[in-house]
Amino acid sequence: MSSQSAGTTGIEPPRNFIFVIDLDKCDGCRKCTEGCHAEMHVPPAWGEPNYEGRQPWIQVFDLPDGTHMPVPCQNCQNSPCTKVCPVGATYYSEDNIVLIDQNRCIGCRICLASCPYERRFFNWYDPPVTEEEKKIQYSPDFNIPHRRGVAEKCVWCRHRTKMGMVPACVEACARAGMKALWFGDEAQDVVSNGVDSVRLSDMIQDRGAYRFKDELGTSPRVLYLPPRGSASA
Amino acid sequence: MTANSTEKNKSIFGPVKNQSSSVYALASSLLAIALWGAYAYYVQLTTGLGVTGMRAVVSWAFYIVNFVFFIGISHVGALMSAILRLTKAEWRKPITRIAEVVTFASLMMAVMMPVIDLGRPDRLLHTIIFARIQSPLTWDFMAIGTYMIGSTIFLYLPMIPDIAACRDKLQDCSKFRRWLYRKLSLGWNGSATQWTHLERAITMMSIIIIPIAISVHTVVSWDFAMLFRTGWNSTIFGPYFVSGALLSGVATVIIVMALLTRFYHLDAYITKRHFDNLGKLLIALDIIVIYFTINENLVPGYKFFDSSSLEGQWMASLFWGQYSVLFWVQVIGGLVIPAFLIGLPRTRTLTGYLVASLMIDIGMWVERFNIVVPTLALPQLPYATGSYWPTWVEVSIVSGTFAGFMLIYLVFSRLFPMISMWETEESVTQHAPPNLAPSATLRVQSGVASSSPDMSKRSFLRYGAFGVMGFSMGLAAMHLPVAVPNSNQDSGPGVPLSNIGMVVSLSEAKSKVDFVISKPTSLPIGSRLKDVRISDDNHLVAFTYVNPLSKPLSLYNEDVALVLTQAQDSPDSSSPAYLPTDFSRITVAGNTAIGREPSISGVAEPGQLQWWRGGIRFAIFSNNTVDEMTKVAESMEAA
Amino acid sequence: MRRVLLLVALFAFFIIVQTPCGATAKSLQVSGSLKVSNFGPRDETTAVKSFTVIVSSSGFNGSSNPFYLQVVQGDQVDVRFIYGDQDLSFDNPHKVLIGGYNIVTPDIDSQAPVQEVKFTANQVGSFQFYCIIPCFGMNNLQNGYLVVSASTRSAPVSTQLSNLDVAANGNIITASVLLMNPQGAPISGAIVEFSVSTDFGPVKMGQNTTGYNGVAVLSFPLNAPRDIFVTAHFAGSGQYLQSQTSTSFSPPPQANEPALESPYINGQAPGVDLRLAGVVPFQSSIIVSVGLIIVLSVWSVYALVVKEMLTVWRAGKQKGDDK
Repeated sequence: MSSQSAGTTGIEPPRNFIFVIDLDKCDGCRKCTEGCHAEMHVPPAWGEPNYEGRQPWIQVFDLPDGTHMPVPCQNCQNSPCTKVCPVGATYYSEDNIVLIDQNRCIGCRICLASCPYERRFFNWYDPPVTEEEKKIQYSPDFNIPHRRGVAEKCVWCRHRTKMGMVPACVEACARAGMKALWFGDEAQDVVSNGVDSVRLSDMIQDRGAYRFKDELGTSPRVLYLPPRGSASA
Repeated sequence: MTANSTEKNKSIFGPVKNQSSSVYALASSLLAIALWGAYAYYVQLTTGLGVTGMRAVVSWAFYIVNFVFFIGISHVGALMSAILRLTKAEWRKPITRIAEVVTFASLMMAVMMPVIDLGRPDRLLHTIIFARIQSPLTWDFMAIGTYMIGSTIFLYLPMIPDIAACRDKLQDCSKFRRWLYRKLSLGWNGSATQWTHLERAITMMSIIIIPIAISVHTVVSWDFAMLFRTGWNSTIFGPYFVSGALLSGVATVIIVMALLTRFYHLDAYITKRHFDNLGKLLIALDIIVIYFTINENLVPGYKFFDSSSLEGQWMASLFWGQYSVLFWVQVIGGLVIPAFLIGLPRTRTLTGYLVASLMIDIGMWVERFNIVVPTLALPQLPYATGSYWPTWVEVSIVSGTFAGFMLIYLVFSRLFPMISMWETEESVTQHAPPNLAPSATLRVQSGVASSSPDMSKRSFLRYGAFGVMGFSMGLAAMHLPVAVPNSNQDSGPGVPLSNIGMVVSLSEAKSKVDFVISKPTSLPIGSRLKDVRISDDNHLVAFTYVNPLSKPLSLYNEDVALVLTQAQDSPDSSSPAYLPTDFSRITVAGNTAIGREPSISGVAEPGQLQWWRGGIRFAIFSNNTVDEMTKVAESMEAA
Repeated sequence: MRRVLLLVALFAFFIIVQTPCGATAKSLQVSGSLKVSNFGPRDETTAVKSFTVIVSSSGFNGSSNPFYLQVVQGDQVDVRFIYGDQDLSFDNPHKVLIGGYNIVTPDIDSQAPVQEVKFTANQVGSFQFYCIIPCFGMNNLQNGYLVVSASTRSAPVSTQLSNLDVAANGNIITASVLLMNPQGAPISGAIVEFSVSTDFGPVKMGQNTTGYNGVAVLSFPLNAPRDIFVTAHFAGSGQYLQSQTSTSFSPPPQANEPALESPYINGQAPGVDLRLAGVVPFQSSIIVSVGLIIVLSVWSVYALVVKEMLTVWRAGKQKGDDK
């Protein structure tokens, strides 16, 4: 799918990943959460009553007006979590994705308290690790195998996105027939749902795209497109 | 030396010299509680932080509350010793060391708490090696570290002449203690040079320790105020915390003073005047904290009363909601009632001071809890409020720290004199010590219980020890084990079971259908037959099972864990040529079958196993794995 | 003629393989006013084919026998699934998956009794559709088949796109291409799409119609100057086959723009440790230095105190210590 050319200079522009969620199309099936859990072997939530089963790195909410709203990590550009980490374990990658280095994290959980979107999670026990997971070399891009005592979050499947594939949740949504989740690069003006690629500017034109909890000033990189026919938020 | 002076010496040195069996008994019981706390921590270290009641929504709880509480108490050393020393308040002299040891002991306990709260305490050094200056936690470590060193020095400096006195006077104590006194007294011999330098050092420390102390608790309050949370997003957290810290610190000193005065017979030095002065300080601080509490709660209450915003929900949860009991206990029991107890002359007795101080201390602990937990429980996204219950691990560790605090204090007071002799000698001649309680008399027997008519040892135990012990036992009684995902919840929306058919008896079903019904002989553990159903056209028979050990099927709106259907099909029916999504082909006792695993999260889709034999289609729907369902299937085929 | 026989043979093969024994072609026909497919004369031209299928516990259109929808490749297919279980005393939702095209209908139940799917039958073959949620009578809903046969139109003519020129003016890229038939004559009035390569696949930038000279031109902005592939694509029409061409393009560096400062070189990220990304930016360095000064002054007071202590200790040593 990736058709990156090696040109004369070889230098590529910095990527500026962006997530676009079309609330018109989400029907609340939660296939995105399932796809994420399968891809990242997400650890359990260990009894937190608001999360069913596993940590919902992307969680779909059923709003009172009937819309369904998936909320992944918002990858804020002015994120409170990177501000408060005492050991610098959470940081920005080159393409501005907030990552966690679980070799450095001390488990103080101030990042959990600081995230206004509650998209950071913690491994309270040893997560179950399958044999195949043990063979994987840990890296902050693809934080498997998971371990106890450190913070976790969705990292926009950086092991996939840096190769031009879309995150697992986006692909699961496309496979399920909705086309609610789109992922792309703002610099290259492209978003894709794993099957189609369109221009970002076309996608959000006239849709009144907004950001969740924009008033906090965290500059999230997730754009929500309100359902057609409703007043934009 | 006058006889009076000898008596006084005995009362100061008595506890240091003689160790009675009751001391050992108390020390062992405190040590036992502390060791039980250590065992609880060991359990937590090996199993994980999940043994606490904290989860993703309420991710800070007892440990951080305890941490803030102990840091708060630790401010009293700076207040009493440094501020009163600099303002040359003479009455402070007998009690400065008591206050400084409270600081020392509570700082020891406070420093342990964030480490206990860490998910990876083996990486503690990362906070130094990889420290990030911008993080409030780094400021925490820096400030607390500086304060610990400062308060230890500040405790140690005025003790040097007294340690020297111990070294000189207590010739018949153990070798270790003699060595300790010798080393710690730094060769003190009371010369003029030494006094000059000592006084200079003490003055320097007094001046510097005050801003350090204030900055420590301010920085600790910024752990919360620097985050985006409703309830923490307040600009007055610094002074709020510092005033609360001073209040709880002074209350602790009053409690300790009362216990020491009674058990160590320090009536000569610690008089009602000291209690009165401290009481005045206490009520002044109490009013300041009430003022800050009003600011913290009335202002957002006015703005957000009955509002559906997060602040409104926070106010509601504090004022009349989930945490209202704790909130009003803190405000009324911890702030208002003690103010009256101390303010009204009728209750301004020793007992009154003690009760008021206990209430304030408990109220302050609850206040820290009300700062940390209700804010974290607020839902920031559209789901239900978080909840938190402490578990035995947290209660044990917190009780262990209280026991550790008392133990450190006990050991310290047995090793070193608790009254600063050289300071008190200067001023003790200035006024005759009035009696502490109306009928108390000076007794110079160390370690023997005195029984004055209205204040007996038992009543002190009752008020003092039971207050703290009862609090922790109450918490222990409240503890619940870590919430296990409840597998017997309502399954949520689903079709009624009557969709499958009407309930009949097995024999009735056998008589109605045209094929031979197979019954499974092997079922998942815990399964129990609920009913047998038959469809309207008598072509389908279903067995439904309940199982408390397994997750119920979300297909139906009743509690059913496994549904086994057998239906008449065309004679050569078999598995479809094209498999549905997530299904795989398997065989069940030689018959073709298809199966799928239950989906792991989100909208639950049950596991399925379907197979065909002799024109009958069998299907199992449950949340068990395909292997488990195959076992059931094969037990039916074997029959 | 030969092609017709071949297709008849193909259909016969499918029938024999898929139909259970005893079923004949006649039993596949359903009477009534429903517009369903049968094995009648094939529709040769690309068209919109609409079908209505009743989904009930007895099967598709009331029977559990294999049920066929017949279309030709290229058809716009429109299938309406209608809920047929109203007479049951309970709600019996169905959800139909069309394999191969991977189309899933929403739930077909008493609340939403009509569900429609629309798609273009691009792939040739036989694709099963069936109900995928456990429902009463699910076993009867496993045998739906969508049969897409190859089109028998007369072969369209091949085309050729050539002379794809890409030029940059600032950050506006202009691409032009020439569409010709095999004889070299330009084709006018054809729609040519231009797309640009990105990390996430080619993105369509726009389309334009070829003029009388067969040339289509399109201008579009390129947000992030980078080396790209530009592709021109003609989708084809009834008489013409599709064609495509692409070329690589390196936009020249802008005169008044600073040189690209990207961390990526040939797709590789640099080996810098980004965990230091929390290193103090300039704005807060003032505050941080003030803080550090305060801390250092406190520690220097401690140092002074320790100095006093050492004096005390030395004074004690001099006056005859008894260590």
